[in-house]
Amino acid sequence: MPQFASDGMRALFTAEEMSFRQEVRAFVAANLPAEIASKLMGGLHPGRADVETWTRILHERGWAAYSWPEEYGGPGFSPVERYIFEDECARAGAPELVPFGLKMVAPVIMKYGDDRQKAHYLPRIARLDDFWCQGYSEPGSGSDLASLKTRAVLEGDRYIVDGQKVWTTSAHEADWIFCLVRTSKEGKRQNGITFLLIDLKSPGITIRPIITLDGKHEINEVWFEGVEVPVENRVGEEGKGWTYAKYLLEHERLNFGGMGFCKRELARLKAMAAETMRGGRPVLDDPGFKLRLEALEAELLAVDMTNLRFLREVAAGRENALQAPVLKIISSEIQQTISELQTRALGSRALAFNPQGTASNTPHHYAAENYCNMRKTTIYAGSNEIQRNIAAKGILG
Amino acid sequence: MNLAAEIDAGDGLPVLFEPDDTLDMFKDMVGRALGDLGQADWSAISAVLKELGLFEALLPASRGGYGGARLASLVCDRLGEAGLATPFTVSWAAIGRFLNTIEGSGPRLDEIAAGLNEGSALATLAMHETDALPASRDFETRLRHVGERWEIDICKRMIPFAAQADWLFVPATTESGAAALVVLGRDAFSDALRPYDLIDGTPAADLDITGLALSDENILLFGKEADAALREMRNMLCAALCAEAVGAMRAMVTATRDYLGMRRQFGQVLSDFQALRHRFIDMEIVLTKAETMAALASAAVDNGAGGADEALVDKCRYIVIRSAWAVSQEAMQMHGAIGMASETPLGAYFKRLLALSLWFGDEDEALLAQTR
Repeated sequence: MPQFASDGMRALFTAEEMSFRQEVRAFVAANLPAEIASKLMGGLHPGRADVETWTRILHERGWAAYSWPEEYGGPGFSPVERYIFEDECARAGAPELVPFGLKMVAPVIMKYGDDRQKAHYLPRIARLDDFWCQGYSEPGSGSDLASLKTRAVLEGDRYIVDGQKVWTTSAHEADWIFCLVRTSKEGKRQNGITFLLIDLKSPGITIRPIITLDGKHEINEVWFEGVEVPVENRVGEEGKGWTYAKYLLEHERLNFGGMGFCKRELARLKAMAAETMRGGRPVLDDPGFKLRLEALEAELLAVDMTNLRFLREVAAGRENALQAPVLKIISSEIQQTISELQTRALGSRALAFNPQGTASNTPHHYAAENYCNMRKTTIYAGSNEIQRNIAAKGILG
Repeated sequence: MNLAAEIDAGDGLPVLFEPDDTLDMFKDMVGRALGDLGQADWSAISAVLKELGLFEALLPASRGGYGGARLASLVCDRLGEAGLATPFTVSWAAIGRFLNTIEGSGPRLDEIAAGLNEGSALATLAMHETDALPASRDFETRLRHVGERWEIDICKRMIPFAAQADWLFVPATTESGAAALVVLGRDAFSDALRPYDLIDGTPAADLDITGLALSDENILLFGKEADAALREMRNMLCAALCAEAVGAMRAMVTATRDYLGMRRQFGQVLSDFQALRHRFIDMEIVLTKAETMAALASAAVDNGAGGADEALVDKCRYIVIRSAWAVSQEAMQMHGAIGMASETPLGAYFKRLLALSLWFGDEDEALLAQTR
């Protein structure tokens, strides 16, 4: 029989985790530049310069590569410590660090890269000397990624890459792109895919902006025409790219949460509701809004605690087929719900269009713009339909 | 429900939902003409509507027109489906139709009505002040007597098409707390406008003026008459916005149907996936109910001589707005990333539906309106 504490109490975090939270909180309070925090607290998106500034500050402290193990220069945080770290940073108004470098390409290089690649790329990713983006989706291959067509042909000591990637987040701000490319059309289509690291300054690369409905330039088309990529920029073996991409998904399985961001946006929502009048009283006192806010807070708690529960389960070696897809689905949906309620809270006052601060009609909370922008969360990183397919395959076979 | 009772009573009234050849003909004509036009400015759109004889058709039956909120809503529906945000809704479906119902109320109103009926003038209504909801009484905009004449302190927000308007209708409160309806010619307000665009591309403006001197002919209605006029215009606008939303929803449903039939994944078209087939039909169901309720809202306005059944209009608005959120989100998700690119039309419909849904408050507000 397990022994229960006599009072039956349970804590969410250990004493060590609580003191770690205090340490992070104090560091962020003392070091996060106020102008960056106020920008994000106002609903604006960070630019590359903001992310660079914050990454360098964290790098000094040894926390920039906060999700990495110590052998690669990371602090070796546990999954729950990572959760706490992200929670504290985001709630204080810190920008998210570039996930494409830190959380996507770096783990693949650590696992499958050669010593030269590890020594060269990893420190540069940690310091954000190189800003990375991800070249996966193509015009005909989004949810059905394995159908991708961008072609790489080995000629001597280099690949010649031709094709097109699309919806590439931050390509216009990035230095490097990691790409899945097709090196063979033989056999099972997943087996003809290779993982390449490509310098975006290479001749033959054209980046064209795609403006999204919120008026923002965040995503791009990336065209490759006869782009030469040295064979040493291939990660692992030719034709194994799909395996590496799947490893990346595995590795990232519990990284999607974004709970700190949600809590920051919830705080913004309450501030909007407090200052907006509806029918002669603050929206925060409106019975209809109050019900929606209560429901949202209950949902967010459910998502947040489920996130924490999964982290504890995985740390204890209890992984299952639901955790990763469920976390992606519920986290993305709650982000959308928060932005929707922000827009509802402002009502007609959300309607003046001000794409990321380009118009002068301030003060402006960017609620409706962000509501439009946040539609991406259930589409990107494996759409929620694909997540349901993955979960169903895991459970139903 | 009053509407049903009145229709049951017969009285030679046409029966709601019974197909009407004349309206169907207008619907086709307007839809085709707007389709040919593509994205155009209001002068091009109004020229087309004029050519179709639409402004005459909007006249009351007593003056040889086809009249009715039903016809105005039909045009709004087609404008919504074509993705066009135009002043037709506020200027003709709300203000013009109202003026035609109170024909002969004075030289200024008759002059404005004549301009609207010819399709040459444009009028707008300042509905919003500080509050997120449109004000219906106790306006911050104050009308007062200064010696022998009137002065007004205007504080209005988000006036649609203000910079384009020849006439601005301004609800205000008098010193005794009564409502008043004031109208200004463009010379009186255009220089003071602070214009900006709304998220759906609708041009709007804020307006603050202190101590603007008025003559008697600027002041249209007082007290109960002003209240009734504002309620009537508001109800008409509600019905028109419902119709526009339904048109925009239909465009999104059609776009989704086309996309599902064309886009291939995992070796088949998306419309072969059962999960997506069901979700698509759910969109059709939501749209169908919204169409019904938008038609009912127009009927409530047409049937409500001396005051539409507001509880009914709010019920319609509730269903339509709820549907607008659902259809716009689902259409976007079924398209995937392509829907978010501003070069495809889907995002514009998404934003149009967002604006239409928030103009009078969201669907919670439509429910709460009857409990206040």
